[in-house]
Amino acid sequence: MTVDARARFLASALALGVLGCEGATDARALDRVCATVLPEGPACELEFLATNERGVTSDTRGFRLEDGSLVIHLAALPLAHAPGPFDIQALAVAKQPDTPLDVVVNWGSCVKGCSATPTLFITALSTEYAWAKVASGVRGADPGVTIPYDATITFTGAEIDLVDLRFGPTP
Amino acid sequence: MLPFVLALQLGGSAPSPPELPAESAVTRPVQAPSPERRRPLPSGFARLQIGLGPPAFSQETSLLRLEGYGGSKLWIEIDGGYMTSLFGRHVGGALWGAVANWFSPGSSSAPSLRETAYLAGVEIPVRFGSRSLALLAAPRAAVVLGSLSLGGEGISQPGFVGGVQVSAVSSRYHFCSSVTFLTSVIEPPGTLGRPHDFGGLYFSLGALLDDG
Repeated sequence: MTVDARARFLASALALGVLGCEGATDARALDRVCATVLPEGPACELEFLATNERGVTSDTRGFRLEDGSLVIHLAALPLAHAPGPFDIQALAVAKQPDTPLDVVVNWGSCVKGCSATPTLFITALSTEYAWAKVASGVRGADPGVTIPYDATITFTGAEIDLVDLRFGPTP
Repeated sequence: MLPFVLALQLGGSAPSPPELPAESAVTRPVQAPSPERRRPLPSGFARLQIGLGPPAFSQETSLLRLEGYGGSKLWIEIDGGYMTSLFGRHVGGALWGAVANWFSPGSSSAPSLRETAYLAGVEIPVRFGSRSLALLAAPRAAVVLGSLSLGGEGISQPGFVGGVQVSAVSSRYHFCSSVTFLTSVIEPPGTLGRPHDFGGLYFSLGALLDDG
C-alpha cells in the first residue's frame, strides 16, 4: 500500500467515524417528564396493574402495563402550556398483535382556557418495538392558564411495555 | 573386548572419501539464500491496534436506533504471544485485551449514550507468509465486563466473548491491519430492553513488534 493510499484510507475511516457520530435529539422525554415534581405531587402515576420498571437500559425508565394505566399530569408537559396542537408518539410493544393502547386527554377542573371535553385515542400496537402515534392534535392550554393537577393524559392497556414518549407540534 | 577395540581402531583409520576435483566446485555454483529467507520466522510478537466499526447487531442496538442513537464504536486492543516451533512458527498462543467504547451524543435535553466494555482473553494465532507480509488468523475467546448507559449510571454486566480476527501483518514494516468479528450476547441491560451484544465488527490498524 502506498503512502497516498494509506492516507486516503485513514481519511476515509476518520470521516466514517465522524459522520457516524449521529446523536439523539429528542430521546428519553419519558424520563424527563416523569422526573418532574409538581407542587401537588409527582408528574407520573400508575393505576391498577402497572409497574415502573427499568427501561431500555438500567438507568432509564419504562412502564409495564399488565392491565393498568400510566397517568401523566399535563402540567408537566411544556407543550401543554401553549395553545398550539401537539402530537404524542409512544415507543412501545405489545405481547399480542394489534393490542390497543388507549390514550385519554382530560383537562379535569380546567374549564376556562382548556379543551372542554376529554378526548380518546385508540392505537393498535405491534409485537416489535416501534414508534406509534398515539394521540394527535391535542390542544394545549391558553397562555396564562394554570393547568390544574387533575388535568391528565392516561395511557391504558394490557400486556404493553412502554419505554419512551415523544411530544411534538402537530405538523 | 579385543575385537571391539580393533573395530574401533579400524574405523578410526578408515580412508577418508576422495576429494572432489577443484573444477567441480566451480562448475556447481551454490545460490546464496536471500536475507529474507535466511531470517527465521518470528516467534514472539506483540501488537497494538486501534479500530472502528458499527456497534454489534443486537435487538437492543435496534431499539436504541429507534431512540435516535447511532454512531460508531471505537476499539483499542493489544495482544502478544508466542509462535511455537512445534508447528514451524506457524501456530502459537497469545493473550489479548481490548477496550471498546460506543458513544452517541445526545442534545441539551436528551442524554448521551455510552457503552464501555473491557475484554480480556486468549487467542490461537495461525500465521502463513513471509516477514514482509503474512496472513495471521486468530480465533479468540475472552471474558467481558461492560455497561450500557443512557443516564451515566448503567450497571456493569459480565459475559463471554467469542470471535476471530484476520490480519495482514508485516514484520519487516512493523505494521498490521485487521478485520475482527466478536460476539458477546448478554441479558437485556434494562428490564424492558432487549438482549444486547458487547461485540462488533471492526477494522483496525496498528503496530507490530516481533523478534523476527
